Amino acid sequence: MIDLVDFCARLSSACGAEQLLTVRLLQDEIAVSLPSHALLAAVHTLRHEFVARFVDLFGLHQSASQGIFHLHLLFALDEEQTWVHLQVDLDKQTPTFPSLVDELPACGWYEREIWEELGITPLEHPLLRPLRLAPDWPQGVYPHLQGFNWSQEVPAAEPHYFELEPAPAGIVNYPLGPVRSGIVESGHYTLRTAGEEIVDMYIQLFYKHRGVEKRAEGLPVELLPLVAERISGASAFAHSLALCQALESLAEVEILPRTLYLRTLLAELERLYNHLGYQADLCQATGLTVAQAQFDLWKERVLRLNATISGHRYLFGMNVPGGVSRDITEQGQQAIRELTVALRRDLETLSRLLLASSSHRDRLETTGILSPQDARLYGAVGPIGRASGVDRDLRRDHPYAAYADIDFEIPALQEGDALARTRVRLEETTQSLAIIDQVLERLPGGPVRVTIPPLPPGRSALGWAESARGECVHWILAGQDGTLQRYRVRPASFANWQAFSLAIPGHNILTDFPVIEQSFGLSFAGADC
Amino acid sequence: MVFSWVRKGLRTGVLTTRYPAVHEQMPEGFRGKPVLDANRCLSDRGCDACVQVCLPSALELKQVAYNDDGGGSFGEWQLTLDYARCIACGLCVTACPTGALRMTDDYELAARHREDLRVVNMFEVPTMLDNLNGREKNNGRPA
Amino acid sequence: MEDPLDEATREAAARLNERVQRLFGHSLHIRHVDAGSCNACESEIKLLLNPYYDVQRLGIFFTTSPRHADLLLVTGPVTRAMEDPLRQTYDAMPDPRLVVAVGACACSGGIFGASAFARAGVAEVLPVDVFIPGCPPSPLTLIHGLLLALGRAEQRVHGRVQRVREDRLLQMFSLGAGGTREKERG
Repeated sequence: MIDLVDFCARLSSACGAEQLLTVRLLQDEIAVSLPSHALLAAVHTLRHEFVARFVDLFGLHQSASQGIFHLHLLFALDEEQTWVHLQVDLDKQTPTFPSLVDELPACGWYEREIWEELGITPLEHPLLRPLRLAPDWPQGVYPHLQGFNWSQEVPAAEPHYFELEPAPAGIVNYPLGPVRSGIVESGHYTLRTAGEEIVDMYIQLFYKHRGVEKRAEGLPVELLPLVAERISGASAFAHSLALCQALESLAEVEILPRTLYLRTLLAELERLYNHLGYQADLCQATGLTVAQAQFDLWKERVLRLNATISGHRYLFGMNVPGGVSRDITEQGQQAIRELTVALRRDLETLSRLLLASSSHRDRLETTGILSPQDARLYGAVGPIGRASGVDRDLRRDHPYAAYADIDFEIPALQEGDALARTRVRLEETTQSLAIIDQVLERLPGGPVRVTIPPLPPGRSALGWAESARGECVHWILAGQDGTLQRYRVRPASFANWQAFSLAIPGHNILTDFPVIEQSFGLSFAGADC
Repeated sequence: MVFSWVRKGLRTGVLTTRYPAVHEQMPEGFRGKPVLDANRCLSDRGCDACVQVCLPSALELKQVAYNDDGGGSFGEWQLTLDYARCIACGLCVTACPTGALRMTDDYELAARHREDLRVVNMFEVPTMLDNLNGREKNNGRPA
Repeated sequence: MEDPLDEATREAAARLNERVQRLFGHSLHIRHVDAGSCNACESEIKLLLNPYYDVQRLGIFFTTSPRHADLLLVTGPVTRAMEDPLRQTYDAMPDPRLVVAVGACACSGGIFGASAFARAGVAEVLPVDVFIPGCPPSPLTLIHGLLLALGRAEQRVHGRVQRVREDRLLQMFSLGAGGTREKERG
């Protein structure tokens, strides 16, 4: 655990001793309030002296306190199992802050988002333009200002589209999307090619922005998990878990032991079907059709198991504030055991065949390399980060549910190519099976749910979970009436998309593109939400 | 290597469902669609428990006046269940105090017309109309 | 959407539709468009091609080009940014063509629709031939819905107005015949 006094002293002196700095320790979170002119120094100190990892940047508008704008930055001190949460008060009339993009390239998207949603300007941001909001969204309408209602009508304005500068001679712009080939999510890529080789790529996402954060505002607490589940359906359990943990943290409620173990079990089942489906998608990209069918069959079997134990193939409805909505019976546990035994056996064969299939392996090796340096700078998380040397996993570094009591390994590689991403996920699949075994062995008895009291007004809390794609971090602020005033979601895919464009240039040819895209296996819905 | 995959595939055998020739059964507890037994429903007597927990406003409760011009003082309660909005979360089933709502594992839900997905329960109990504000109850969603 | 056709034309269209369904009954090519789903619906649609469901045995295929497609399968409530691409995809499809809305979001907006960010479902943008509810609809639900669109399966849900009588009070005291008197709508 971090020495709070030492932390305060070092951070204060780095920002200049006369700066006003308040520090509060809430559970695993150090909350620091500081003035805007100390921000750059604080971020620099955190990154270099404390080796903190940037996680999120978002804004908040509190009209109750006469229109105050807050800037929030979240960092992870993984070695100390702690989060550092900076809060900066901004000027009411002209809310601005110095752009952090030079110091932290990963901030780029977050700063654009805060600008379009709240009107807070990051000064000297290199390319300030809208991020999430649709092209026909009118200027000057800021959806995260207090008083903006999720369901209000916003008339269409003249659409504004970002124009790429014209390609130089010999380079071709190759636009793909948002309606793309296959049964895929909507998103746009523009590849720039010189002959066969891809020299650059521009991503245009956020076609699927549904306003999830706004949707959650003002809802009765018991309905909030329904929203969290639908941020990204394939990470439904992880997102609803992060949300429920945030609510439980806010209400200061102790969760029952059986709940913790069941949540671990269900989270790993979700990870299993995602990783199996990932291998199937990658085999589709390389044309290994029998392998694709084999992995798809396993994904289907896990989904059917989910339906048997939870009533829903994607585990919707299992996480509730205070626990899980239903228990897993002896029969259900037996069904899980049978599946894990069969899968473990088959996975050995399938992995061996997969990695020995040269038609598949050759297309993955050295393809789409994301260097460890880029992965760190651009905040890559999850198996994508771990395949490029960013050895971080919330289950080990900030344990939640029952993970602290379970033995498991976190595979990490350095090569950063598509093969590394495949191998990391294959190994994680094996580890998931080991975790499920241990949970079933040690499952404590007792009830699975407690009621949580009404949310204390004005309090905030963090909740987090490692989904199959990486870390999902949620932050909630309770309003005066027991509902949420602000809901902030940072899904794993939002962080990983920025890293994706860096893996494309560099000796990759056009036909590598689908392989690289599938090897990342990102969620558009998660990023856009 | 190709031969190894072919062998693997052949050994797996035929797993394909025979649906629709043969009806498939969903596992027990599968959430397909909720069904309302109107005889047990108390929505005409002031209960709106299911409406309160329905996030997509699939369940809506309103009073329909006997006089079309809305000027009369009597009407009937009407509880609508719209399957096009339903997300089969099951919260209504849990919230219902009389067990009027139950979840079935029915999965053949498709329909050609939007109206085919609405089940309207009219409670033929003449009631005094509430004031305008009390007449319609859904979960805050624009009609 | 306003119906510009007169009675005779509508009848002819219905007959043509019937013929069309018989034509499609043997082989159908589907173009899927994601209009802002959470990706659970996409996951279920993709699984239609796995060996458990194998829709190709029913003559149903997925195609990448809308110009080769007979049916447009749409997921999501139709977000602001996807409205135009969705329309363009539909416009690129030759007649005869069908539109199927998959999932609660596409059928009605689900928990998201009719907001500053999205519409209340596909029907606000395109004429929908079949609505497939669910969140997400399972692959069997999808198969039933697609076959319904082809005229090869029966519709099982029927909208109706049920009149619930007061004599259920009488039921409680075991007096007279009680129960619901259903009045089916046509």
